[in-house]
Amino acid sequence: MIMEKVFQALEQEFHKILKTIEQVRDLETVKTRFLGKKGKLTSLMKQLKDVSNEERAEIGKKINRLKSVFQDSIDERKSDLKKSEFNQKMEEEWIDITIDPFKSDTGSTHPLSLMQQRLEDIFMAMGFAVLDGPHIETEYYNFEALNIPSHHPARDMHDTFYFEDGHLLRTQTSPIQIRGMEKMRPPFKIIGPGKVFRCERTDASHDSVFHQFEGMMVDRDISVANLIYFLKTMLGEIFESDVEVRLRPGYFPFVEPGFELDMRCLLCKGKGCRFCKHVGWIELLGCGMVHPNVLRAGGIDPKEFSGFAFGMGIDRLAMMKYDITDIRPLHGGNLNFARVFSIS
Amino acid sequence: MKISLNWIKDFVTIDPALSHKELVQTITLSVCEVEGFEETGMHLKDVLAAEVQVIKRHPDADKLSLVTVNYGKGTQQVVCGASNFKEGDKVPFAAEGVVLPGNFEIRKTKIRGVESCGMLCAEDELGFSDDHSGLMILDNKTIPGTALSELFPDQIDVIMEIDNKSITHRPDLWGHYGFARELGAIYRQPVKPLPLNTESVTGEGDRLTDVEVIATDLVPRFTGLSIDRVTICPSPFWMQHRLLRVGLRPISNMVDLTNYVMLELGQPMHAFDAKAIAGNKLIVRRADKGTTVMTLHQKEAVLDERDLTICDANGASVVAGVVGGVGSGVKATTSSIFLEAANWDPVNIRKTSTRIGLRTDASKRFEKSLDPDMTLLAIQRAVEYMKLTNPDLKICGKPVDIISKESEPMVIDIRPDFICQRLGKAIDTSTIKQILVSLGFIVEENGAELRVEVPSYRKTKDVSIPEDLVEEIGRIYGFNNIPPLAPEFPIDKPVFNLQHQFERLARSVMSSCRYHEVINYPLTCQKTEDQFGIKSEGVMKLVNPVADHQDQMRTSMLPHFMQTVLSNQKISFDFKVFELGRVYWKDQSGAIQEPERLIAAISQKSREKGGAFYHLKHDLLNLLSKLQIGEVSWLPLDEKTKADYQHKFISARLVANNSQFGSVFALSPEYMDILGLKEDVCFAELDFEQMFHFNKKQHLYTPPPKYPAVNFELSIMVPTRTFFESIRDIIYSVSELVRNVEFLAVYNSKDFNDQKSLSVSIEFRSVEKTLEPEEVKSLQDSVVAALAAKGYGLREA
Repeated sequence: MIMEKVFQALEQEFHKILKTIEQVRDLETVKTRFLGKKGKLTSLMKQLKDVSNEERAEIGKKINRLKSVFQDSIDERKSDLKKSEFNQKMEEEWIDITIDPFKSDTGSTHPLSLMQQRLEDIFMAMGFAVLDGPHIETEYYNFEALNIPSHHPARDMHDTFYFEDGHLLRTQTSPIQIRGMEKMRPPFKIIGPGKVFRCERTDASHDSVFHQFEGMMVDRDISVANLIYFLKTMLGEIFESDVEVRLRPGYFPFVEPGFELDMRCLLCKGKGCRFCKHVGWIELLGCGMVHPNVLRAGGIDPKEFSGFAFGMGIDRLAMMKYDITDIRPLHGGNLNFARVFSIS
Repeated sequence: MKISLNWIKDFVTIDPALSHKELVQTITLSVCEVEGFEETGMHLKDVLAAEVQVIKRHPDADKLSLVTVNYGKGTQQVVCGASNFKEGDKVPFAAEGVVLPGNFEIRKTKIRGVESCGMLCAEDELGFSDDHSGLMILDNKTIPGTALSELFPDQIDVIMEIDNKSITHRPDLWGHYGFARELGAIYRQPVKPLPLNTESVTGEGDRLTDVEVIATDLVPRFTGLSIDRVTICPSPFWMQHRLLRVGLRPISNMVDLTNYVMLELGQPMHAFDAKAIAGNKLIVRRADKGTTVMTLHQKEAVLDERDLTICDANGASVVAGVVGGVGSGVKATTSSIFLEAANWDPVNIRKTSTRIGLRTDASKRFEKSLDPDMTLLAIQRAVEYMKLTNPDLKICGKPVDIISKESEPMVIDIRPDFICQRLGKAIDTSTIKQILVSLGFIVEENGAELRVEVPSYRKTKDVSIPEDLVEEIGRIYGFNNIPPLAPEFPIDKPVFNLQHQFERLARSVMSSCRYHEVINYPLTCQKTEDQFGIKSEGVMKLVNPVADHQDQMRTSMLPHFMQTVLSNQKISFDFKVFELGRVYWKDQSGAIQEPERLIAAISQKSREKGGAFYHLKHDLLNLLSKLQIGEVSWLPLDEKTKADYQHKFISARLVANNSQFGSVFALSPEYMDILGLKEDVCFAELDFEQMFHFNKKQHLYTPPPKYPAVNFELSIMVPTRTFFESIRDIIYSVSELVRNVEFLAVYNSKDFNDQKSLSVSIEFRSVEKTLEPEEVKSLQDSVVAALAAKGYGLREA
């Protein structure tokens, strides 16, 4: 029974010491002290050789129990201490999540690029090929092939920049039609976005450099009804709503018949507002059935094929979409303007 | 151009139930663009004729008088500032509450202490003219109380502003009669015919003026008439008022009636003072080089042999089709005239008018290719109007009518089903015929086809092919009556614009790397480019720039982009910006090049050395990887080709596929100072065109290494200006088992003298097996030995 007391004392001692431990690494010392090769429990075991066989079995059982109690308690204590150390570390890691120490600037894509990409996406989904053309053009591509002979009064509509060698800055994206037809055979559907130039003074709604978007579709038996259907569908996509359109005669030498297309004002639904200058309609684009002379210039037989074409201003669409009231900041390079477009 | 509805109504009946808004919309939808319209003269219903009964001096003002008028419904005393009237005169009176043009409401007021109720009006206040010299004096027989709208009913009108550009192709719409014809067709109303009556312009005796046309190639038709016994006086009031309403200032009966006929038919005319024609003969010929004509606008036009003139024995007196000379026209004393109405070559008129910088009402019309059949009719109409003020005029002889070019009939054969197919809408042949006939076309059925003869006023330019007739049918039928129809279109092979995709990817990467996109003008000037020493060979220069600083195409994106950086530094020093655009020049073979460039910049507060450069490099490596540009070497700039503005050390040229495609550089301290840039700025200029055409590195899968790598770090002492890559190459050369050499850190210290400590991490790995410790040790020793052989020792711990 002496042994019994010794065991009790040892167990008490163990728990007393374990309680004082506050660091995981100190647990090892405790473990060595009680469970190690030279530990207290081992030395107790050594004393077993002096007791009877029955007693030995009994005591052995108790020692084993104590061994597992010690081990479990140490493990438990270890787990508690770790938890508390992690908690402590976490507490120390508090940060102010409301600040932005890097002062992040977001980067942006220019509204004209965004608009052009959006238009290209719509047309590509409708099966159109996207074509490019040079900005510096010849009289032939910019005028003659488009049924605007020299000294035609229609050239007045195009205040043209000329170079010393007779080249000019394209006044419209329509030369892309001719360049496209030279490469493709009907049926085809093409668009040509890009910069155009007019030598006129800059004001809030005019700039000498702006952007247009040309479209053309040629096949057998293309009609005005097809043109209306197509433009209505396309504008519905651009403005992301059902649009009402109307055609009225418009003079563009490269189409016959030629139209101006108006769209029912989306803001006032046609009642008349500041945006539509109180007419209820917004003048949006020029379009028409491709003139036979233009088809011929592109090497296409107008007896066999017909087509429609249209052109519109990307700047104007971007200004409408983003509610930009002055065209000049588009070329202004001011990053405070750019930051508004920190999307996509 | 302004068009009067009353004037149109002289020729066609318009349903009075039709609102002005609807009418204008119909014109817009079926004819041409109406920019706006104004209803005039409604206030005249409220302005009454009044008799001046008593005129008294204002007690407190010398220039004012107190006028008592009887306006039919009573009498009123009005304070008046005018003095051009006397007791008994009839004048217009606007009572209290009447609203005059300009939203000017008449109110009871006190003027210098005397109450004034109502206003006596001058012509400008009533919208007749801009005359404010005195009160408008009415016919003395006018009964007081008569509304002015009864006296001047024509003043109640609708004036439409037509967009000239929308009728560039319609010579027939440059006069009111053309509009009447259109409305007649649209509303199916008869249009009053203007038949030609040669007898009405033929008189007894001989002509006073002879005419010879020498330049027959430029004068399809020349018509003229001598008229004697005329006096110059003002035109009838109604004519003056009509001219004023459409924006023309009345001058005298002769000038006004030529203008009136021009606005009616679209045919410009000129009235010569017959007695001022030297030699009594007009000769139409090309000018001699250096000929000058002093125009009615008091401007001297200098002509040459390309310009057409009307001359007399003293030389050129009129620039044909453009403007009259100051001495040729009618004067107050003119008593006989020669009235001219001609048809000139449109291109030549346009060229002359452009050359002498004078665009007149006449040249604007002639350049549109006017109907040559109109000249004699114009003379006939002018004579009719002339008789209003000169009932006793004498026509001398027959009209001159020299036709140098007979106009050919224009016939278009068209199948009605072609029209329906092109419009995408079935329309009855009878409707098609009816529309064409109402527009003046002569239509004959010829089997399945229609033979359509184009009237003279439409065939000079506008209508010549079947598609033109499609438009005529479409616009009168109403394009908006055609229901939309989806085209039948085959499924086709998708075609991608790879360059646009490449641009789009670049934009997306750059904006994700927090760059802002800007778009600068591609137009610039040599002075701007000179600043960066950019060569001027092959520069595309504009002949007609709008602004001096935009007179040529940029050959580099840098100058304007530099301005973008500079101006944004005024707002903040920390930003990243890029631009994607074209540059332009003519190469040695004469071909014009428009390659694309990408330019980017980082501006930031100065912190560590090379901070902006390394940030920019970091971003560009990301961009180049996304754009699949393969191995890119960053090499120092060549001292010889380096531009002055580029920093000698903080600069690199980018080479891939053995080709330099860009550079990254800071500015030299001197240029930072010259340009006014501050803090840490670094630029990148990439030849985007070349990058697009590079063979793209394919992202192919390779299995991960089977055997583990062993990493090993070294700090090597090297001279301060040693490139990491030169050390890397030494280490690579040691063994194929060196798989990777990475830069870790650089450490500078005064104790190192002119050296720095470069820490690198080296990875050894075999593809065949796990490396044994002895092999690793041996590799490490070889690396140290190889470095030592080049004179580089390890940093001592």
